[in-house]
Amino acid sequence: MPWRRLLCVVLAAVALAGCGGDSFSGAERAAIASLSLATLRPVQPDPTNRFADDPRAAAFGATLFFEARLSRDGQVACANCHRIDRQFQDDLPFGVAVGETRRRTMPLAGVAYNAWFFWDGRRDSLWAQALAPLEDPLEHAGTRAGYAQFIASAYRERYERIFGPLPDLTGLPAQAGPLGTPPERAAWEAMPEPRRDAIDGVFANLGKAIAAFERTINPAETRFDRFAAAVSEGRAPQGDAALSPDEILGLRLFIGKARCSTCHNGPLMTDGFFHNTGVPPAPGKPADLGREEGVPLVLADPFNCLGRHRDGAADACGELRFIVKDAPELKRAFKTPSLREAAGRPPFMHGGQFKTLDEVVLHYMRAPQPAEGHSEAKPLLLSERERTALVAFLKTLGE
Amino acid sequence: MRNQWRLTIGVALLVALVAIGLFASRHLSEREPEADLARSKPSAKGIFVVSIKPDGPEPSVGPIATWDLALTRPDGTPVSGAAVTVGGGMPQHNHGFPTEPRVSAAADPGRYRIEGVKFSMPGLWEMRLTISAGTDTDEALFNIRL
Repeated sequence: MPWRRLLCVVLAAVALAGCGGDSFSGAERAAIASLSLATLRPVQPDPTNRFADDPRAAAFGATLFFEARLSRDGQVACANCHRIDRQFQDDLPFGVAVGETRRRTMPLAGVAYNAWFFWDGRRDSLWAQALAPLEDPLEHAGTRAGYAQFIASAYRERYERIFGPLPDLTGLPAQAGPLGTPPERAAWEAMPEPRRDAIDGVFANLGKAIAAFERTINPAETRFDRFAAAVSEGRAPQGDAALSPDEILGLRLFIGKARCSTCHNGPLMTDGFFHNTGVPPAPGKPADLGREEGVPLVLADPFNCLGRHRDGAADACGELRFIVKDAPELKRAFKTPSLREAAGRPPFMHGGQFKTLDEVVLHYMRAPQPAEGHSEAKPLLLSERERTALVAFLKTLGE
Repeated sequence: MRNQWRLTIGVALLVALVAIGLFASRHLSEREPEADLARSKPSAKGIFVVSIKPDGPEPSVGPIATWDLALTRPDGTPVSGAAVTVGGGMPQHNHGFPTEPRVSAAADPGRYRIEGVKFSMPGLWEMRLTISAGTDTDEALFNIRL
């Protein structure tokens, strides 16, 4: 029965072609390598913060990061929401401090690689970012004048060893700042300009110390990275580096027809930019226009790169100088999050809109019209198995 | 015997179709349309000849770079004093550039600098230059693949 033999041979060939094994094309290999942590360059110097790589500043920044007295009620440290045992995030749909914020707390691994900070990019440096929650009435809710006096009483020696002498604080109102309560704002306005500037300098230094600490928080190697290393060296992945057929299928989809790696690119799996992908508004929260709100805020921030508290020259301010100020795609655009260890930190998106990765994948399959603006996502046809496989792959990026 | 041959041929055809389908789904679906990647070309109405090149290494995802722009008439005469604006982005994703590049005149006649050019993802990008010199206005569209 030769035809039967032929049939068997042919069916076997089809089966092999269908599985594809893990023989990747050259383009797939390059795409896999580009996502691997091994291709992450060291954190670039931050010339706008001359203490960025000063170990004393980093150590002081770590102290400040865990210091709950840096808040109005003495209860809120950075570490409350950026929990050290939880990837420096809080597992909640909205950050909770003095009040409840309107967005999800972001994790910190690799944070120093960003050009823009927060979901809407309303700050343009890590040190300027660190200052915003300290004054936000829903977060630490403190004031600049209050913080300067706290540092003078609790940390004068450590501060002065790094940054030089504190300014004279005698007669300073206990609380005064441009974002405080009406009396605190009035007290701030009543201060002479040079005094406000000196207090701003102390406040900026707190941000620079916290940033120096946060620059040391980096992503860890994952199963995917060990797999990618084997693939790029042309050897068979061993132990937990060997991905399952489902995980490999998910990887192929990620860099292929599901187009995830368009925005989730590079070793941190983010382009660091802002996109409207039709994610629905966070329930119970006011309208949120994302980057469209962030642009005027960063331009107005006195601690931005073009402000007077920057160290170094203004040529470090390319992102701010060439910022896109007015474009339709900024509406409801939110920053692409890194996918490293994302599987271990539900809920997902800027308002925790999705509880599982499966819901995230379903969202990108449906690609619904956004509440406002124009979504860049296009509907995607995936089989049940492909959906599961994509989620399985995302888990290889750490859980 | 004839039935067996028919079956064999039928199965072989079926297998060939499946194989073609698999090949197509794997290799063709990810391909982008062919794009003209020329860095020097006449503008849309042929009023200018427009040339661009990065002032530094070939473009990569991430850094903010400056590009050099050269403008001439079709006869090779440099065009100085033109007003040039930059548009474009990624047509397949309906978004513009992550920065707003600006054009300024360089020292040499017909030479300009396009500052603030950044690409935030791999793929096909468009850079659209709108050029006004005197009473003439024209456009040039460049494709840049990363």
